[in-house]
Amino acid sequence: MVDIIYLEESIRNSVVSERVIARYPDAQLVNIGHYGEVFNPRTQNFRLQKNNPAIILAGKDGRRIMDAPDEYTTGGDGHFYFSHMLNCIYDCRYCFLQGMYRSANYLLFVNYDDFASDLRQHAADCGAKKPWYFSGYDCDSLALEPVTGFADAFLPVFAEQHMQHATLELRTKSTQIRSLLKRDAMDNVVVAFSLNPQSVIESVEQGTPALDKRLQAMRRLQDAGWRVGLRFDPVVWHADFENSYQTLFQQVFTELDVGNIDSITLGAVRLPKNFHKTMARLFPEHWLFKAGMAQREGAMIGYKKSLEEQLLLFCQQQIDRYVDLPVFVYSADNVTSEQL
Amino acid sequence: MSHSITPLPKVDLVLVTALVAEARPLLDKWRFQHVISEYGFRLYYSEHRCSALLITGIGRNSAAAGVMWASSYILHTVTSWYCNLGIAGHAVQELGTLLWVNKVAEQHSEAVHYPPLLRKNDLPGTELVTVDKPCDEYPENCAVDMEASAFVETARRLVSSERVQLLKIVSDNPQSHYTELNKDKVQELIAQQLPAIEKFVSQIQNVLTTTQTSFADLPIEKMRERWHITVSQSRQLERLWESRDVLQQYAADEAPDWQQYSSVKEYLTALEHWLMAVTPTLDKTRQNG
Repeated sequence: MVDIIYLEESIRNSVVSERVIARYPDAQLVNIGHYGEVFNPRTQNFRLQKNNPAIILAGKDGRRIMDAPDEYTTGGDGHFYFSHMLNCIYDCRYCFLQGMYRSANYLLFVNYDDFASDLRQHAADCGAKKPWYFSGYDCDSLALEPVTGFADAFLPVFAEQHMQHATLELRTKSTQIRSLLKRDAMDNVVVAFSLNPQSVIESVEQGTPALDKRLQAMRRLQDAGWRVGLRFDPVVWHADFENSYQTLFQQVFTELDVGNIDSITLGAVRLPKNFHKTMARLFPEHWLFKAGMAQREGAMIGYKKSLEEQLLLFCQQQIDRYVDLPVFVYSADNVTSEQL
Repeated sequence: MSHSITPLPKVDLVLVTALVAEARPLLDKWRFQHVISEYGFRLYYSEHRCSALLITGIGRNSAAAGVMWASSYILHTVTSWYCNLGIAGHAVQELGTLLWVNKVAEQHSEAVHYPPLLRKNDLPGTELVTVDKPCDEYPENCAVDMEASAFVETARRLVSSERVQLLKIVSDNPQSHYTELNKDKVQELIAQQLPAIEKFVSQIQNVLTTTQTSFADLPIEKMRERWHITVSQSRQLERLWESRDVLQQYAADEAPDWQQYSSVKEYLTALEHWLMAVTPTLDKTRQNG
């Protein structure tokens, strides 16, 4: 439920704005000049705001397609991301958004047409190269789909003839897959699901769908011909680690069509140092920011190197028992390798 | 002239009004005791409500200066919050309506603030414009007062924006001129809304209390008696002591006892090793949410 919608005057009449406003008829509408007035002030507390986040409807000016961090490598020739939304309806304790933004409000950029034009132009500028676009970097791609209609709006863009060399990766934990199932599967769209054992989900992924629900959604997508990716990231260390991850991999590779998995990535909890500092201040009582954590190369905080290696190696070996696919492994030292 | 200030024992809520008449119903109901009057400001304290009440006088300058003056008597904690309570004119709302302010604009500067809604309440929301002089022109669908923008701007220097809230009771509108107001009328308007005000206060305090965390005190003074501790070691001690407090419940062994170590360096090393060996158990973490 959303109780307040902040609204930039200039986008009041956009189709997306009208849909969101209609979705929450009881919400108070508050006019704003620019989204930064609400989203950016310094003295905000992310944790307090997460109790009752508002929606901010705004237009995104300036650069809309960004270079993806180096570690986002799952295929294609160049990696980019675009964010129609900042922040997420879920409340995963490890999520870096808590450390990156001061506000927990959902900032939705409603000028989808501008994003679409930029994507077309950007893809054209890539020439013969095959660009790969991530949409779930600053939010969950599908979690708010019934409200935002994001996939509904952007899948047709990637279905266009001149976009066939470009790939869209929707990164999600959500089971909101109706927008995908109602249309034919697309070769240049990957739906990548973040997965963790059910015990980890219950402990640190508040508000997210249960593992079995995610797997059911993935299987339905596979059956409909969609490319599905597996993101075992972040792996969370705990006392029953080996058992719970062993069970996870067994569940995943039993439930899914193993021959039709697009890509697999693996990484443990890791955060830029300044994000970790902010998050540990927001949740000083939480073990996640303390247990096994150490300063790593560069400005990263992650599990102690030997511990991280042990966790990732175990997961890698387990995955190898079920599939013959390269696993992209990400370490806190920003080392990207196809195999550990 | 300087004088020593003794902070109030524990303040969760700081209520801020411009007028005595706005404060009167709460002064009585919450059994506030007078603490100090100085520079035209009056500060009261209610022990059983862990609240302070500040009367600033009328206008932006008084509100800003008053809040800053009172802050020297208040030790802010993670549960401290400020609420501006007072009367306001409104273009369309009926007299006596209690409003939660969702936007504060300042007429003379174009500064704008958006107090976050921490929990859904039953109160109608309103935009509010702070003006410098009493006026009988009401901006479209807006409340009008003379303090709010300065109150918000000043209080946000002291606590995060979520902990700065405003409640306004409609005292005048195009059908009922502000010149008809008097002390008794203002008191009556506030008194009628006391139950709703108290409900709002309790909702906010519930949210703030659930995010409160406390740790065992680091016995730094006793440690200093035993060891020479540098500033950087002191910071490290604070950080690791907090981790010790959080992870202790998952540990197989007791945390190292600081009194068994001959130097702070040795203790820090032992504590770090101990912390690294603690493996969290998910079953227990669920209780922490």
